[in-house]
Amino acid sequence: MMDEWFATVLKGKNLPPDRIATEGRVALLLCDGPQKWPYAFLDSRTVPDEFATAMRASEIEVGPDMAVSSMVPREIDLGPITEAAGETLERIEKWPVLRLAMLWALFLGALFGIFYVTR
Amino acid sequence: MNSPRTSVHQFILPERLRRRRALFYTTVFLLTSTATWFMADLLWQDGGINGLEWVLLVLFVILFAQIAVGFATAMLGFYVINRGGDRQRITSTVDWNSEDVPLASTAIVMPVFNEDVSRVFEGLRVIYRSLEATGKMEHFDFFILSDSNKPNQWIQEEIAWAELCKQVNGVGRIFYRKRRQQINKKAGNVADFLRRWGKRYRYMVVLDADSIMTGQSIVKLVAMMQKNPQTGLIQTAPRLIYGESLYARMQQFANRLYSPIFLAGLNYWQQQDGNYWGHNAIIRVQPFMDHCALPDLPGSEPFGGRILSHDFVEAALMRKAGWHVWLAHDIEGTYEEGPPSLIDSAKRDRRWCQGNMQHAWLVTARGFRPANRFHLLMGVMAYVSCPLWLLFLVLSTIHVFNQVLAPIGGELATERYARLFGHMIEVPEALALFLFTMLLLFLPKIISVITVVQRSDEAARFGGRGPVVLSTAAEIIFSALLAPVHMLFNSKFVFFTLLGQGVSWVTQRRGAEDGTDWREAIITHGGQTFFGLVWGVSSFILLPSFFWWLSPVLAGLVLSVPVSIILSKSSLGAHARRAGLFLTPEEVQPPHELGRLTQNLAECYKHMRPIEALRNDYGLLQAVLDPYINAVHVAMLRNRRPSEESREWFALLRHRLLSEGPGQLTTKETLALLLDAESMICLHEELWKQPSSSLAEWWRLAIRQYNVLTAAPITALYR
Repeated sequence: MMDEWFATVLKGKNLPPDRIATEGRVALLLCDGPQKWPYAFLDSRTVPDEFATAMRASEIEVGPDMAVSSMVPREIDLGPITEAAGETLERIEKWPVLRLAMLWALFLGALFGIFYVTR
Repeated sequence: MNSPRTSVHQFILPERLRRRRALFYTTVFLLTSTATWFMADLLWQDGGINGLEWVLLVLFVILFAQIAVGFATAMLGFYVINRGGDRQRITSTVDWNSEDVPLASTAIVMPVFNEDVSRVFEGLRVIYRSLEATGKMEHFDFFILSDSNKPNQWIQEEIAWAELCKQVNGVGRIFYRKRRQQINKKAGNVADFLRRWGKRYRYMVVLDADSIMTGQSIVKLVAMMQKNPQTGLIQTAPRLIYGESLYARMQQFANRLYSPIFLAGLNYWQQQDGNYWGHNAIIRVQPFMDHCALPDLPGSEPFGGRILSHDFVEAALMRKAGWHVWLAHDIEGTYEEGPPSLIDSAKRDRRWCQGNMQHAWLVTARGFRPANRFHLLMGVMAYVSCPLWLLFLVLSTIHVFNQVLAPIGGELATERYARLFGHMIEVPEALALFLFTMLLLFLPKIISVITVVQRSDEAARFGGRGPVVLSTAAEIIFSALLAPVHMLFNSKFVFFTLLGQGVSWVTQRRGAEDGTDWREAIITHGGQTFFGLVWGVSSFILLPSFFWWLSPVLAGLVLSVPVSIILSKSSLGAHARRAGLFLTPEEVQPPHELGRLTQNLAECYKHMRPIEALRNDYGLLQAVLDPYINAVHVAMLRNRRPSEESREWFALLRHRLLSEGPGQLTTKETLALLLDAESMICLHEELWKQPSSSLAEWWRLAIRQYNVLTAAPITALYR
């Protein structure tokens, strides 16, 4: 019954059948139907023109028409030193053992440093 | 650059800009050299500089140079303000009294991620109304770009958006876009917007979820862009607002009182080589799309991979492409919120640390302007300096330890008098260096206070002369106590980042409620307290005079738990406000927009929260149960034609949801249902048609609760 009523009120909007009820409810909400025309909802005989017009005009717009364009990342030239460092890092990442060995070396270096400065 | 070059405003001549920068860098150089002289002399006094002392000296130079940068910037800013302001400002390119610059299409974009929905949409309402009052609304569209991945949050955002559109008659002007896949976080969110709608707009104003900008400030930004076709980005200097806790109030007071001289100084030497801070800024869309799509860095996270702190890099890329980037430091009506507590601030630093450290890759990138390299380097140093400072202090302790073991001439170097070009000054060398450092750290603050206090009208905006001085003294004490805590936090973050521990994009807690509790404070600061105690006791045993030198650092660490708790208290913040402490002009004379927002939010937070049993899945409840919310939600979903297999899977999920309740579904399954229009339509129908005996107890409770809370025919939508 509700779907039929919405279909009648929203005629001309060419809505797919499965969306009539939802679009109708959205329109009812946006035009403040229950507040402004409290007795018009589901009344098939006396739907005020103003209400019907407001219902047809009310629809949700999540965004304006799309104007699709591309935004392609461009490589940043990091400079020779940083590039070399980057390549080394990527190589290290492929060899987890190397990474672990470097961490150990760092730890040993720190130990040696502390040993040296406290002599 | 493809923008018209006619009527381009002539900014500062290159020679003058070079002179300004020479002055800035020379000041930094001279200050650092002088301090290094004292330090080297101090280290030399035991008969030369050994290996450890060389390390100490190098660390000192790096750390002191950073202090000198801040001091030089502030002093230049003070000089500029004192002579009546800089003529070379982006805001001076438009005659605001007589010119009515025609505006252009502008999108106001607000990326959000699981933020307080009331705050986001009430903030947007205030901005919308303020812009409406300028009479220039026809040039603007609003976009809420949601990456929220919690079902409740998502539905609340949709509800709030629909209701806001209805209330302000903003249908067709305020838009809401929810991304299905949150690729590349905030930068990816904005890039997605640009790919869809970027071509429709000449400019976009980027806001943060807690940003507020007045209509006037937005109109001014667009006008400045129109007047300066060579400008690609204008960053404003947002004021911190709505601080409730003592910590937040102190931060906003410090930001408001001290920032003018720093900002004026920054603009003095950077000019069109400005920086981008990620929000409260206007961007020329086309060049941004052409040049600022960010590639991945070499390697994977945390060092490589996606660029997390995108803003500095985007500014550098804009400059590299020849577009000007300006700081509109003197534009009013631009605000943001700060973290409510020390722990929240540290959580934010945790995210920023990784992003800033990634910038190390880009400091030497080809084509970047020197000023941008400097910004990137300063960003890296903001965090790397903390472990360096810690290392400096630890090495100093070891150095003292060595000296105690083998004193030279029976006295310590710190106790000897200073020497300058062979003349002895009857001040202990270490004390001279200490005072010099303190001067650089605190003089900008003192000057800021004097600048305000000398004018009674200006002082009144901060609550009066007495309160300003008292507030500054308290702020200095607390910031001195917090500095070592930040040092340990950031040292830990840098260390974790180096070890490959990534950070996630967690939601910042905004608006303190009851502050940090003891448990949270002890867990977070326990290690710092312990470290401070061990360090303090050992240095006291080693040499009491050295302990007293270290005491400001030790006090901050040992007291970190109570200080963190005290500062997080909103009640103490309110007391301070009543006592006239830490007041800002935005509180003493609140702009209309902020007053309005406070009122609206107070109304919002009066609403009854859903009962405990329903709270976790309240968004889903509304989207399935309420005819209006269901309709709004479905209307925003794309029509898809799922395969037979996925239809069956969705049917099974729907059945489980209704018969077992939402608690039995994973968040992923709940989100999948919420994204499927067909399922949402079916669920709404099935729920209202099925006999209650076939529904889960949770749904029966939900229906009872819904009938109590909503009086037909008024919708349950957010009011």
